[in-house]
Amino acid sequence: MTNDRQITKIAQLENLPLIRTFVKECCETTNLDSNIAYDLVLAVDEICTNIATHGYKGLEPGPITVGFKAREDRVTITISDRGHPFDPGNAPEPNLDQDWRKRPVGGLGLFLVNKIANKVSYESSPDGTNHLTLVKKLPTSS
Amino acid sequence: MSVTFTEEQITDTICKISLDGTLDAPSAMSIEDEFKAILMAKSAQVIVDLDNIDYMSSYGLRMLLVGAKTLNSKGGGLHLVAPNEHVMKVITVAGYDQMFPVYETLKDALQALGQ
Repeated sequence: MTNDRQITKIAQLENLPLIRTFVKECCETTNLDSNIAYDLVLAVDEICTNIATHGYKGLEPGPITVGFKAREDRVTITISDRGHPFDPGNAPEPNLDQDWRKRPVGGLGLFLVNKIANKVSYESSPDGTNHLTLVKKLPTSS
Repeated sequence: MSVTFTEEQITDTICKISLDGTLDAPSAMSIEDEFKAILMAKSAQVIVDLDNIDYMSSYGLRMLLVGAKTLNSKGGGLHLVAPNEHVMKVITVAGYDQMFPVYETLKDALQALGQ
């Protein structure tokens, strides 16, 4: 199983459906289980939403590049942008045990990403590009 | 891809809001003010029908939480109905199934509300 593709769009909310469609098509081409496909679409959508709403805040919206690489045992998705550096690992986790009436609105996107992906890593390259990598392990076929 | 909603008064104290479409960030942002304004006008039980929602991200969850808080502050309550399996998973992972009742069907919701 080999399927390496990528898409680049400007980091604007109206481009989110195109990015979701790209990930969905990659998953379909790779014959991924529909539940895993939905999860991956959601994870990429959440990250790209953050980049579109916060990543380029105060800046002209720049590119988001989403790369999709499928192998027998895993899917690796890279999301690159040139906005403000942001390591999702530093984001506070929501307190799900808190009384919902006191729960803050928002803050769930990265929580969902971390629940979906087996590994999330962030790197900022010297040229100022942010690279977020998601790894989703695939069930081994018998 | 966008989302629309329709409102139906079922009884004096029960209202149903049916959402239709894709509940991602831009579509949730496009209706959240109107959605909240409708709930502000209610002091009742509001059933949000998710049957025709094919996709929901955390922005959809955010809109529902704002709605639930709005209703709660006025003595009402939010009830979710008929999410598909993917939407239900998002609801569950976020712990929202512990926050408001989620029913498989409208009939189940109405029964629980004494109808």
